[in-house]
Amino acid sequence: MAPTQIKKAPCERAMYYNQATMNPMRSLPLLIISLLIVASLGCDAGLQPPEDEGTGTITGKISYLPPWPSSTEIKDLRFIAMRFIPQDTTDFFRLNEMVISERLPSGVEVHEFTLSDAPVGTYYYAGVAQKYADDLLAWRPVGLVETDGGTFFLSRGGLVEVNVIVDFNNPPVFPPQ
Amino acid sequence: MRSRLSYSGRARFHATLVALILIGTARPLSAQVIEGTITDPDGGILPGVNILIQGTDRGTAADRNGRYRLEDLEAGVVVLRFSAIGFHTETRTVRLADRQVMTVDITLAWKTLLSDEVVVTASRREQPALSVPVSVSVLSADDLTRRNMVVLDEALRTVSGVSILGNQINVRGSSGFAYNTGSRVLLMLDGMPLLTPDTDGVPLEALPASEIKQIEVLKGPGSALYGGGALGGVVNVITRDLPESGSFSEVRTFAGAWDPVRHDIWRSGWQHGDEYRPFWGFSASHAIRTSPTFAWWTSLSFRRDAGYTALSGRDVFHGFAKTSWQPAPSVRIETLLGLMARERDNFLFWESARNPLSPGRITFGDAPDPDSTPNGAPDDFVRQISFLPVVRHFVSATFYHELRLRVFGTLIQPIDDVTGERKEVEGIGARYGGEWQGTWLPSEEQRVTLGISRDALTTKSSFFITNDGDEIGGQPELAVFAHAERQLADHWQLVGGIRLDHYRIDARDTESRLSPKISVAWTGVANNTFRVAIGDGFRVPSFAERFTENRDYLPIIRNLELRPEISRSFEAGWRGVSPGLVPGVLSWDLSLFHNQYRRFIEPRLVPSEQAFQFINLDEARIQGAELMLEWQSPGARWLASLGHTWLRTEEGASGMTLPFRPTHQVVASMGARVLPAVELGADYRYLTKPDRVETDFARFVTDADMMVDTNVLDLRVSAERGGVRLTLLVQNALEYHYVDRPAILGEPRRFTIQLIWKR
Repeated sequence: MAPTQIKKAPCERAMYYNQATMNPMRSLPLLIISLLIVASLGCDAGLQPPEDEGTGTITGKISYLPPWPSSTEIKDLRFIAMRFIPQDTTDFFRLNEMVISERLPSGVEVHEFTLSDAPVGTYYYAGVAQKYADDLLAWRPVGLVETDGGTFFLSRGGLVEVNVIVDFNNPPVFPPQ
Repeated sequence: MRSRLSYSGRARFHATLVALILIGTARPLSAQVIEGTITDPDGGILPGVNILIQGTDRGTAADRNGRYRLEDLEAGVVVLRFSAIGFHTETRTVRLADRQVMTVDITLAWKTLLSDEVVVTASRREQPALSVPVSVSVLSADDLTRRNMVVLDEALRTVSGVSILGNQINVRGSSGFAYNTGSRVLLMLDGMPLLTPDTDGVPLEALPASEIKQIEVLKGPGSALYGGGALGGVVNVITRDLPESGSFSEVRTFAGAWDPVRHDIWRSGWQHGDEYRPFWGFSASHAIRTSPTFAWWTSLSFRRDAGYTALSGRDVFHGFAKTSWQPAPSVRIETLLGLMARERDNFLFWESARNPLSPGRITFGDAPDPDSTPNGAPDDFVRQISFLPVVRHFVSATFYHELRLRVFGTLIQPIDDVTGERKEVEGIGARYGGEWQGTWLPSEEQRVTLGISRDALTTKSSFFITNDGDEIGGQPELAVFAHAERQLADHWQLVGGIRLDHYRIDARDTESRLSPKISVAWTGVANNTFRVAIGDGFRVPSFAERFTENRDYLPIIRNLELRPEISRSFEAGWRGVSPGLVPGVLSWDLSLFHNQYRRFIEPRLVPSEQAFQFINLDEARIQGAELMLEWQSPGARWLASLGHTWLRTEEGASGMTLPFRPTHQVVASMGARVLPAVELGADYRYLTKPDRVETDFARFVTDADMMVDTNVLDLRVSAERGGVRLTLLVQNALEYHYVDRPAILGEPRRFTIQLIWKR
């Protein structure tokens, strides 16, 4: 997830005391309202749009070792790159810290893909994931990016090329050791 | 309550007055005049006071010298009504002879803000707010009107100690944020519980803002009086009284626009981001006493709001009617019937903090379809009905009792995103029941209230899977309660209450809970009340918390083991009024409170279940302090109030703070009459960013853990003359952007013109 910058509003306490210590002068209401406005205008505007860290491109070549499982065992198949190392399947919920390809074709020997709007950052765990049942989180890795220990950094406007070998019969251990 | 015993006599008196006025109107027009000067109790002149001839639309306002003059009046009986903000309204009945010039000088008494308020929620009876042994805040109809508050949450945001996260009411940090499920604050309409039957959420739009007499907020547990749901407090909305004579009509209309948000990148994310988005509405009401024994009012209102984000528009219609019939001098039957229909886009969460004006998508691995409607904004059509008949019987001067019935039903139809047509009903539910309450006054110093209530709810939704797999379920409840007040010695008041609730959750599960409460108040110093209260509370988990099983929006699984949460609360307070401490009148209320919860219910992501689930935490603590100050200047030209609430929360053994609770909350308000009949006003609220924000939601929705302080200033100016009031409002005048609840941008700046006509 992209880090966000949030400014604080430091001036409210001043307004608090302006209210609490007012004196009953004739023009006091206008004075206080004016002070409130002036004091508040000096504060920031609250929530700001986070900085755009930009995106880069991930391209890859996926090689499949035969045999393919039956089509009923492949509910979905995607390339997924995570900016963290998953500890269990609940980490699949961290959708905002991963980039997911469109559905990959089945029954092929080799497939090349491109993810052109991947957020900038370090990706620690990437590979092909198979959804093997209807359950929402019935996913498992079937092949991983292994170059440089599986970690790569994507810079703004940069291009990273990866290779994955998928062996449905010998999937990687999950969670990773 | 004793004043009610003479109700019929007063009604006859007023009816006679009306008759005399009507007789008077039959006379030919001539040159009768009433004039005079209006002063405050110190002899100071009062400019801007409204003078209305009751039963007509004729009136005037006092000039800068406090003088007024009404010419060309008809001879006969004339009833004059003098009103001004900050003063008690006065009525004078005079008989004008032909060509008479009559002088009627009036001194209006100051209305001391806190000390004169009468509340009913604290002890199930009317009593002065100054003397109640618990913390209560009151919003009057004037407070709502002058701020053009058309939805309940807008009003509650101005109450000290109350914060709103989305549509979840927090009283002193009680509720946190749970998607408006399982409110720990009980909402009542004229004493009728009004939580939704499925989620126990608060239906903020079900109430007619234009027909509200006052809103009372009871801070702290109210379970001893009102049972489960009142664990963290009670919000009681009390509808307008019926007229004791004549008739009353009012038309309100307002229109305005949302200002485009400040940041270019936000505006560029939505095709309407650069436009002023309109909203408007109107309401019309009429009340009349048709005979000494029968009166009614009815009200219709409509509101359309284009919304300041994509897919957040809504149309809301309300129809309400109230009747009062007195078949015998000691019997009164009242009914309240309300209807609400609302069609809305339901913006659930943003796409990201870089595009907060567009709803987001949660895809769970499926490829996003750019042509589909984001699941962050499901549309629905909702209808709600509320029906509340009450029979009161004043048996003797020392005993009266009442029977109350109540029905609150709701029906939800999703709307097809593509065709706009309503689909099959997705959810239907009803909360219904009744109670009997008897009150005995054995002496001037004692009061005993006993009651029994029976309530049930039925709800049907494909989201709920109960123990026996049925989609329809209910949680019938039987309760008996007792409440006693006794004046001890000269300045001591003892109040005790106890309530036994028995719930049947489903075929396999029942719960019984005893909720005692005791409080002591000491009034040994004039105009001051010192109080101490301790009590237990509880809340049975709602249907939604226990039985929701759905993965359409977020993965949520049911928890059949969910137990009721219970609390023990302590509060000490000091409420006082001091006319002499500073010029004008200063009143204050200082409270210290400590709430200890067990089996506290919160939504959490449960790793072993791979889904969200409502679970019981072992323990939780919420403690803090609250100070409220109100001041009015001599002559009531200036009114000011300030409230500061400090919270310290802790979650069980972890020692972490509870999520979504602001440590500091400040609300401030002031009004000033700068010219005769012209008022300026400002409301300010400040909440610190919660110390802890639950991050599980941010797994699915980008930047959903992003929160900032809230810092909102509303300004208004209004002018009133002869029953017509024009108000200009600028809300969020600083154009400060904040987060209303996780992944929803708070309301940006908006401009409103409001026109009210009364006769």
